[in-house]
Amino acid sequence: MRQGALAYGILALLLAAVWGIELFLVPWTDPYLTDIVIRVGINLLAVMGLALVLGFTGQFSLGHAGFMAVGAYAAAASTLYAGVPPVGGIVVGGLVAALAGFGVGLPTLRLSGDYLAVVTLGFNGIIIVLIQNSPALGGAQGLTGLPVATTFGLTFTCVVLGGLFIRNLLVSPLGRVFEAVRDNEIATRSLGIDTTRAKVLAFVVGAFWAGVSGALIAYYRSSIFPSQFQFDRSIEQVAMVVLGGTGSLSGPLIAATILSALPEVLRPVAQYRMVIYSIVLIAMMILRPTGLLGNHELSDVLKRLWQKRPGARSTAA
Amino acid sequence: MSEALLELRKTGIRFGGLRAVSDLDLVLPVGVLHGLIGPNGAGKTTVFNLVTGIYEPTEGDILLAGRSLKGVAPAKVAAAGIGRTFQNIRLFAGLSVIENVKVGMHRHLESTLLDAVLRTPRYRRVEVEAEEQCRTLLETFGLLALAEQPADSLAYGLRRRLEIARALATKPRLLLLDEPAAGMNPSEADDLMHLIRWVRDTFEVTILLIEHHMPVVMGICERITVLDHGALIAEGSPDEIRRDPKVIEAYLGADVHAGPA
Ligand SMILES: Nc1ncnc2c1ncn2[C@@H]1O[C@H](COP(=O)(O)OP(=O)(O)O)[C@@H](O)[C@H]1O
Ligand SMILES: [Mg+2]
Repeated sequence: MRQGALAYGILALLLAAVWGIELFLVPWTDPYLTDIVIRVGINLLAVMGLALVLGFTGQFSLGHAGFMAVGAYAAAASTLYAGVPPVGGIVVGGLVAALAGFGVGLPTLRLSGDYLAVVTLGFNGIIIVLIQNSPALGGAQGLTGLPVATTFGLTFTCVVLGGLFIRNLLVSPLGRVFEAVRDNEIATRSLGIDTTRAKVLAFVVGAFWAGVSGALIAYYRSSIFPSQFQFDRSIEQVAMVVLGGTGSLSGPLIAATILSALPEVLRPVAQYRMVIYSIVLIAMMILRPTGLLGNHELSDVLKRLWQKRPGARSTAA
Repeated sequence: MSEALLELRKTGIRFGGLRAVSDLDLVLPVGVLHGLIGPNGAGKTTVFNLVTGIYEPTEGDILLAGRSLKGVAPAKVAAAGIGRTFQNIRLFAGLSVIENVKVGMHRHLESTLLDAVLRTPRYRRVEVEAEEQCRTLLETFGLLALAEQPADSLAYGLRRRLEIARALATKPRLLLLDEPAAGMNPSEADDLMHLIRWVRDTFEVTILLIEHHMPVVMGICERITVLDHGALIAEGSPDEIRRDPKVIEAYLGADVHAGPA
């Protein structure tokens, strides 16, 4: 009872904070800064899904941006052709992407190892080609004329819902099973657990939030283009999860925040931007090969720092 | 007259030209503690992999309580009531000691995706129950004080104990233990063997045990099967096995007279 009430209390508090910022802070904030923050939020949604799939379940998906594309175009089409309002379109985008995740995951996740990487890579490519060659989806010129609805408030409402969804899932019995599959699939099976089912479930949940992320892109600048969901975006997301720490949720989210904001922050020294970006990546790989937080969460790290602070009464002197 | 829980009928498997196991007959009555011994490469682990569905036999059949396990997937075999440990320990390194055991119990926990995400009362009740049962099990295995430690921080012998506890958490009818005392010193091995016998009596589980520590195997098993080159060369009580000339020649050599202390 208490624990459940606490979880809902946190949800209410976070949503109140998001909408408080939207109503009282965003109107007086430099739109350029708000733009960066919204882009970061959109990336957070995609990366938290990938952290579940790659970091916690150990499934190497290389086509996460493909599910964003599915979500973005499903949302856009639902609005343009069926008049679905943006909030409904976001749900549609998530659900259609989840369905695509099921279609890709079910046959592939039965097989072990590297098939998933190859198949998801192919999926990402195929989705882009299909969109480019579909007049109804605007082809390479993209789809225009979408309503603009992706505000800070809407984006971070999705981030809060997605973050709590995935966190609750990870600390549940199913979350343990995901990690068990990652650590030793044969042992997991020997305990009577259908590992294919567990992997498909993680994959579908990851695809759902990628779809939501894509849908937010659709309603951001009134147009979308297939080039926004190419393979390089998938690779970037894998880098965020690996750099943040596989087996951590907050680590990848911090990495996603830094790596999404970095190119913008570095804009004044634009010609060196990619160089600095690369150096940061390489330095991280050398200094912290297990990723920013390893398999820990930000809350663990803060707790430890707090206990180590000067003047802290330590029981273990 | 006790009925057979596990029955292998002329079971065999080939890997290319190699007959890793051939023509093997084995009957385990309910409640028995049965030893499976033989030199390295004799095919003992392969027998476990056949029974648990990791390999499908190319010859013969395997029955659990009269039902064929042939072609049944490993997860389904486990769900039918067969738990096992692995010769090369397979713990979940990223999980804590108690979480390892909770994964073992998972199939008995009724908790869905929505329960987890929405934090329903059922979700919390199931978690509390699982926690209690797992702690009891860990206490039995002397691991309770280490419950929150990462599984890969445990000493070698304790890892083997944890793996047995995890397998028991599935509430199996048949437990397959692949060299559970490997890497332990004689006194640790002796403790473990007594624990295994105690587990059999307390949990009323049937056990098939692969083990190299001869004195302990001879000491706790009621019956023993000896494999060599994938084929059965002897079966009987520890006393019969100890005296069997084929066993002495093929495998045990001078050690056979050491017997239980
Ligand atoms: N998957 C496999 N492919 C090919 N050969 C195998 C396979 N598994 C086991 N073997 C072979 O089968 C024989 C028996 O192995 P194993 O059952 O591990 O022996 P034991 O456990 O008695 O030491 C060995 O020669 C081994 O190399
Ligand atoms: Mg072996």
